[in-house]
Amino acid sequence: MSEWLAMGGHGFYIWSSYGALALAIAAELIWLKRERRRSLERALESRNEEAWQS
Amino acid sequence: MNLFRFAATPVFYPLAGRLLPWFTAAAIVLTIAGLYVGFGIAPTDFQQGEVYRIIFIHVPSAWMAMFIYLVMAGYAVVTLVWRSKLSAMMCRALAPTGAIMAVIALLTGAVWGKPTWGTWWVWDARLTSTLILLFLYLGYMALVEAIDDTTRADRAGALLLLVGVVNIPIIYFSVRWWNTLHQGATISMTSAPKMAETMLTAMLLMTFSAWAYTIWVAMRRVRSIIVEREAHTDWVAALLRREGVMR
Repeated sequence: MSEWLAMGGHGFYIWSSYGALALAIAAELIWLKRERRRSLERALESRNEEAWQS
Repeated sequence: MNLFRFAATPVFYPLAGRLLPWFTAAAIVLTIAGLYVGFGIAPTDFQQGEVYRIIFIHVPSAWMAMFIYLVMAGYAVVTLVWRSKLSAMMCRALAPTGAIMAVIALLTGAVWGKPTWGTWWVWDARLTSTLILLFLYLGYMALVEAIDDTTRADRAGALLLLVGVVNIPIIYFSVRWWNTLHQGATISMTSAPKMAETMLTAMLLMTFSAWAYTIWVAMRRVRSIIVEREAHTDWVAALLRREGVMR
Protein backbone atom coordinates (compact mmCIF):
# COMPACT_ATOMS: atom_id res chain seq x y z
CA MET A 1 0.00 0.00 0.00
CA SER A 2 2.67 2.51 1.02
CA GLU A 3 4.65 1.48 -2.04
CA TRP A 4 1.62 2.22 -4.18
CA LEU A 5 1.16 5.58 -2.47
CA ALA A 6 4.81 6.43 -3.12
CA MET A 7 4.12 6.15 -6.88
CA GLY A 8 7.73 5.38 -7.71
CA GLY A 9 8.96 8.51 -5.92
CA HIS A 10 6.37 10.75 -7.59
CA GLY A 11 3.74 10.44 -4.85
CA PHE A 12 4.07 14.05 -3.73
CA TYR A 13 3.44 15.41 -7.22
CA ILE A 14 0.56 13.08 -8.03
CA TRP A 15 -1.29 13.37 -4.73
CA SER A 16 -0.88 17.11 -4.45
CA SER A 17 -2.43 17.43 -7.94
CA TYR A 18 -5.39 15.21 -7.11
CA GLY A 19 -5.66 16.85 -3.68
CA ALA A 20 -5.85 20.32 -5.23
CA LEU A 21 -8.61 19.13 -7.55
CA ALA A 22 -10.57 17.58 -4.66
CA LEU A 23 -10.23 20.81 -2.66
CA ALA A 24 -11.37 22.93 -5.61
CA ILE A 25 -14.45 20.74 -6.16
CA ALA A 26 -15.30 20.75 -2.44
CA ALA A 27 -14.96 24.53 -2.32
CA GLU A 28 -17.17 24.98 -5.38
CA LEU A 29 -19.88 22.69 -3.99
CA ILE A 30 -19.94 24.46 -0.61
CA TRP A 31 -20.07 27.81 -2.41
CA LEU A 32 -22.97 26.57 -4.60
CA LYS A 33 -24.95 25.50 -1.56
CA ARG A 34 -24.48 28.90 0.11
CA GLU A 35 -25.30 30.68 -3.12
CA ARG A 36 -28.55 28.73 -3.43
CA ARG A 37 -29.66 29.67 0.09
CA ARG A 38 -28.62 33.28 -0.39
CA SER A 39 -30.47 33.58 -3.70
CA LEU A 40 -33.71 32.35 -2.13
CA GLU A 41 -33.29 34.84 0.72
CA ARG A 42 -32.50 37.70 -1.65
CA ALA A 43 -35.49 36.85 -3.82
CA LEU A 44 -37.72 37.01 -0.76
CA GLU A 45 -36.16 40.30 0.32
CA SER A 46 -36.71 41.97 -3.05
CA ARG A 47 -40.33 40.74 -3.08
CA ASN A 48 -40.91 42.22 0.35
CA GLU A 49 -39.33 45.52 -0.70
CA GLU A 50 -41.54 45.65 -3.76
CA ALA A 51 -44.67 44.90 -1.73
CA TRP A 52 -43.74 47.59 0.77
CA GLN A 53 -43.23 50.21 -1.95
CA SER A 54 -46.53 49.59 -3.70
CA MET B 1 -41.34 21.94 -31.50
CA ASN B 2 -40.22 25.38 -30.51
CA LEU B 3 -36.79 25.19 -28.86
CA PHE B 4 -37.14 28.71 -27.51
CA ARG B 5 -39.80 27.38 -25.17
CA PHE B 6 -36.98 25.91 -23.06
CA ALA B 7 -35.34 29.33 -22.88
CA ALA B 8 -38.32 30.55 -20.87
CA THR B 9 -37.14 30.52 -17.27
CA PRO B 10 -40.34 29.03 -15.73
CA VAL B 11 -39.89 26.08 -18.10
CA PHE B 12 -36.12 25.82 -17.87
CA TYR B 13 -35.87 26.00 -14.06
CA PRO B 14 -37.80 22.79 -13.23
CA LEU B 15 -36.41 21.02 -16.30
CA ALA B 16 -32.84 21.70 -15.10
CA GLY B 17 -33.88 20.55 -11.66
CA ARG B 18 -35.11 17.23 -12.99
CA LEU B 19 -31.91 16.70 -15.00
CA LEU B 20 -29.55 17.50 -12.08
CA PRO B 21 -29.45 14.03 -10.43
CA TRP B 22 -28.54 12.41 -13.76
CA PHE B 23 -25.51 14.61 -14.19
CA THR B 24 -24.50 14.09 -10.55
CA ALA B 25 -24.66 10.34 -11.05
CA ALA B 26 -22.80 10.50 -14.37
CA ALA B 27 -20.01 12.62 -12.88
CA ILE B 28 -19.54 10.25 -9.93
CA VAL B 29 -19.68 7.02 -11.95
CA LEU B 30 -17.34 8.35 -14.66
CA THR B 31 -14.84 9.62 -12.07
CA ILE B 32 -14.74 6.26 -10.30
CA ALA B 33 -14.34 4.43 -13.62
CA GLY B 34 -11.66 6.89 -14.80
CA LEU B 35 -9.66 6.62 -11.57
CA TYR B 36 -9.97 2.83 -11.62
CA VAL B 37 -8.64 2.57 -15.18
CA GLY B 38 -6.10 5.34 -14.60
CA PHE B 39 -4.57 3.92 -11.42
CA GLY B 40 -5.55 0.26 -11.52
CA ILE B 41 -5.06 -0.74 -15.14
CA ALA B 42 -3.03 1.84 -17.11
CA PRO B 43 0.65 0.82 -17.12
CA THR B 44 3.63 2.83 -15.90
CA ASP B 45 4.96 5.14 -18.61
CA PHE B 46 8.37 3.97 -19.80
CA GLN B 47 9.75 7.52 -19.96
CA GLN B 48 7.94 9.45 -17.26
CA GLY B 49 7.31 6.70 -14.71
CA GLU B 50 4.20 7.18 -12.58
CA VAL B 51 4.02 10.97 -12.66
CA TYR B 52 2.27 10.92 -16.03
CA ARG B 53 -0.93 9.91 -14.13
CA ILE B 54 -1.42 13.64 -13.49
CA ILE B 55 -2.54 13.97 -17.11
CA PHE B 56 -5.79 12.19 -16.22
CA ILE B 57 -6.86 15.44 -14.59
CA HIS B 58 -4.55 17.88 -16.35
CA VAL B 59 -5.75 17.27 -19.90
CA PRO B 60 -9.51 17.13 -19.12
CA SER B 61 -9.35 20.33 -17.06
CA ALA B 62 -7.34 22.12 -19.77
CA TRP B 63 -9.82 20.99 -22.44
CA MET B 64 -12.77 22.03 -20.25
CA ALA B 65 -11.24 25.44 -19.57
CA MET B 66 -11.09 26.09 -23.31
CA PHE B 67 -14.41 24.48 -24.12
CA ILE B 68 -16.36 26.31 -21.41
CA TYR B 69 -15.02 29.58 -22.78
CA LEU B 70 -16.22 28.67 -26.28
CA VAL B 71 -19.67 27.80 -24.93
CA MET B 72 -19.78 31.12 -23.08
CA ALA B 73 -18.76 32.94 -26.27
CA GLY B 74 -21.63 31.16 -28.06
CA TYR B 75 -24.06 32.30 -25.37
CA ALA B 76 -22.55 35.79 -25.66
CA VAL B 77 -23.52 35.90 -29.35
CA VAL B 78 -27.07 34.80 -28.48
CA THR B 79 -27.18 37.46 -25.74
CA LEU B 80 -26.08 40.26 -28.06
CA VAL B 81 -28.10 39.26 -31.13
CA TRP B 82 -31.38 38.06 -29.64
CA ARG B 83 -31.21 39.93 -26.31
CA SER B 84 -31.89 36.62 -24.62
CA LYS B 85 -31.72 36.72 -20.83
CA LEU B 86 -31.16 33.05 -20.10
CA SER B 87 -28.05 32.95 -22.32
CA ALA B 88 -26.49 35.81 -20.32
CA MET B 89 -27.31 33.97 -17.11
CA MET B 90 -25.64 30.84 -18.52
CA CYS B 91 -22.47 32.86 -19.15
CA ARG B 92 -22.42 33.95 -15.53
CA ALA B 93 -23.14 30.44 -14.32
CA LEU B 94 -20.31 28.90 -16.36
CA ALA B 95 -17.58 31.47 -15.63
CA PRO B 96 -16.56 30.34 -12.11
CA THR B 97 -16.30 26.70 -13.22
CA GLY B 98 -14.24 27.74 -16.25
CA ALA B 99 -11.91 29.69 -13.99
CA ILE B 100 -11.55 26.70 -11.67
CA MET B 101 -10.76 24.43 -14.62
CA ALA B 102 -8.08 26.87 -15.80
CA VAL B 103 -6.57 27.01 -12.29
CA ILE B 104 -6.50 23.21 -12.07
CA ALA B 105 -4.94 22.92 -15.53
CA LEU B 106 -2.21 25.42 -14.64
CA LEU B 107 -1.60 23.94 -11.20
CA THR B 108 -1.43 20.30 -12.27
CA GLY B 109 0.71 21.33 -15.24
CA ALA B 110 3.19 23.01 -12.91
CA VAL B 111 3.27 20.01 -10.57
CA TRP B 112 3.82 17.70 -13.54
CA GLY B 113 6.42 20.03 -15.06
CA LYS B 114 8.66 20.10 -11.99
CA PRO B 115 9.73 16.42 -12.07
CA THR B 116 9.40 16.11 -15.88
CA TRP B 117 10.78 19.37 -17.28
CA GLY B 118 12.69 20.37 -14.15
CA THR B 119 10.72 23.58 -13.67
CA TRP B 120 7.34 24.63 -12.26
CA TRP B 121 6.77 27.33 -14.83
CA VAL B 122 8.17 28.78 -18.05
CA TRP B 123 6.79 31.55 -20.22
CA ASP B 124 5.98 29.01 -22.89
CA ALA B 125 3.32 29.93 -25.47
CA ARG B 126 0.74 27.43 -24.26
CA LEU B 127 1.30 28.12 -20.56
CA THR B 128 1.14 31.87 -21.07
CA SER B 129 -2.00 31.77 -23.23
CA THR B 130 -3.71 29.50 -20.68
CA LEU B 131 -2.82 31.99 -17.94
CA ILE B 132 -4.43 34.69 -20.12
CA LEU B 133 -7.54 32.47 -20.34
CA LEU B 134 -7.72 32.44 -16.54
CA PHE B 135 -7.43 36.26 -16.52
CA LEU B 136 -10.24 36.47 -19.09
CA TYR B 137 -12.52 34.44 -16.83
CA LEU B 138 -11.63 36.59 -13.82
CA GLY B 139 -11.98 39.78 -15.86
CA TYR B 140 -15.41 38.73 -17.10
CA MET B 141 -16.59 37.91 -13.58
CA ALA B 142 -15.26 41.19 -12.19
CA LEU B 143 -16.82 43.19 -15.03
CA VAL B 144 -20.37 41.82 -14.71
CA GLU B 145 -20.20 42.21 -10.92
CA ALA B 146 -19.01 45.81 -11.21
CA ILE B 147 -21.94 47.05 -13.32
CA ASP B 148 -25.17 47.47 -11.36
CA ASP B 149 -27.59 47.54 -14.29
CA THR B 150 -28.09 43.85 -15.06
CA THR B 151 -28.83 44.21 -18.78
CA ARG B 152 -25.86 46.50 -19.35
CA ALA B 153 -23.60 44.22 -17.30
CA ASP B 154 -24.71 41.23 -19.37
CA ARG B 155 -24.03 43.00 -22.65
CA ALA B 156 -20.65 44.38 -21.57
CA GLY B 157 -19.68 40.91 -20.35
CA ALA B 158 -20.79 39.32 -23.63
CA LEU B 159 -18.65 41.80 -25.55
CA LEU B 160 -15.62 41.01 -23.41
CA LEU B 161 -16.18 37.29 -23.99
CA LEU B 162 -16.26 37.80 -27.75
CA VAL B 163 -13.09 39.87 -27.79
CA GLY B 164 -11.31 37.27 -25.67
CA VAL B 165 -12.34 34.32 -27.83
CA VAL B 166 -9.34 35.02 -30.09
CA ASN B 167 -7.24 33.52 -27.31
CA ILE B 168 -8.75 30.03 -27.73
CA PRO B 169 -7.20 29.21 -31.15
CA ILE B 170 -3.97 30.71 -29.84
CA ILE B 171 -3.97 28.20 -26.97
CA TYR B 172 -4.99 25.36 -29.24
CA PHE B 173 -2.41 25.96 -31.98
CA SER B 174 0.31 27.37 -29.70
CA VAL B 175 2.22 24.08 -29.65
CA ARG B 176 2.27 24.07 -33.44
CA TRP B 177 2.94 27.75 -34.12
CA TRP B 178 5.71 28.21 -31.56
CA ASN B 179 8.28 25.60 -30.77
CA THR B 180 8.62 26.21 -27.06
CA LEU B 181 8.54 23.79 -24.14
CA HIS B 182 5.01 22.36 -24.03
CA GLN B 183 4.70 19.15 -26.02
CA GLY B 184 2.57 18.84 -29.15
CA ALA B 185 -0.88 17.30 -29.29
CA THR B 186 -1.07 13.65 -28.27
CA ILE B 187 -4.71 13.38 -29.26
CA SER B 188 -5.85 14.78 -32.58
CA MET B 189 -8.83 14.36 -34.84
CA THR B 190 -6.71 13.42 -37.84
CA SER B 191 -4.33 10.74 -36.59
CA ALA B 192 -4.19 7.80 -34.18
CA PRO B 193 -3.46 8.80 -30.57
CA LYS B 194 0.17 8.48 -29.55
CA MET B 195 -0.50 6.82 -26.22
CA ALA B 196 -1.44 3.44 -24.78
CA GLU B 197 -5.10 2.55 -25.13
CA THR B 198 -5.79 2.19 -21.41
CA MET B 199 -4.19 5.58 -20.71
CA LEU B 200 -6.41 7.11 -23.37
CA THR B 201 -9.50 5.39 -21.93
CA ALA B 202 -8.79 6.77 -18.46
CA MET B 203 -8.29 10.25 -19.85
CA LEU B 204 -11.50 10.15 -21.88
CA LEU B 205 -13.51 8.85 -18.91
CA MET B 206 -12.19 11.73 -16.82
CA THR B 207 -13.02 14.12 -19.66
CA PHE B 208 -16.65 12.95 -19.81
CA SER B 209 -16.78 13.20 -16.03
CA ALA B 210 -15.59 16.81 -16.27
CA TRP B 211 -18.36 17.46 -18.79
CA ALA B 212 -21.03 16.00 -16.53
CA TYR B 213 -19.64 17.91 -13.56
CA THR B 214 -19.58 21.19 -15.45
CA ILE B 215 -23.17 20.82 -16.68
CA TRP B 216 -24.27 19.84 -13.18
CA VAL B 217 -22.71 22.82 -11.35
CA ALA B 218 -23.60 25.30 -14.12
CA MET B 219 -27.26 24.28 -13.95
CA ARG B 220 -27.27 24.59 -10.18
CA ARG B 221 -25.69 28.02 -10.41
CA VAL B 222 -28.00 29.25 -13.15
CA ARG B 223 -31.01 28.16 -11.09
CA SER B 224 -29.85 30.42 -8.25
CA ILE B 225 -29.36 33.30 -10.67
CA ILE B 226 -32.85 32.76 -12.15
CA VAL B 227 -34.52 32.83 -8.73
CA GLU B 228 -32.90 36.16 -7.90
CA ARG B 229 -33.64 37.79 -11.23
CA GLU B 230 -37.23 36.59 -11.45
CA ALA B 231 -38.01 37.26 -7.80
CA HIS B 232 -41.03 39.40 -8.73
CA THR B 233 -42.82 36.64 -10.69
CA ASP B 234 -45.62 34.43 -9.44
CA TRP B 235 -43.80 31.21 -10.20
CA VAL B 236 -40.84 32.22 -8.00
CA ALA B 237 -43.31 33.15 -5.27
CA ALA B 238 -44.74 29.63 -5.52
CA LEU B 239 -41.20 28.24 -5.42
CA LEU B 240 -40.31 30.26 -2.32
CA ARG B 241 -43.40 28.91 -0.61
CA ARG B 242 -42.51 25.36 -1.62
CA GLU B 243 -38.97 25.80 -0.30
CA GLY B 244 -40.38 27.09 2.99
CA VAL B 245 -38.64 30.46 2.64
CA MET B 246 -41.92 32.37 2.32
CA ARG B 247 -45.20 31.80 4.07
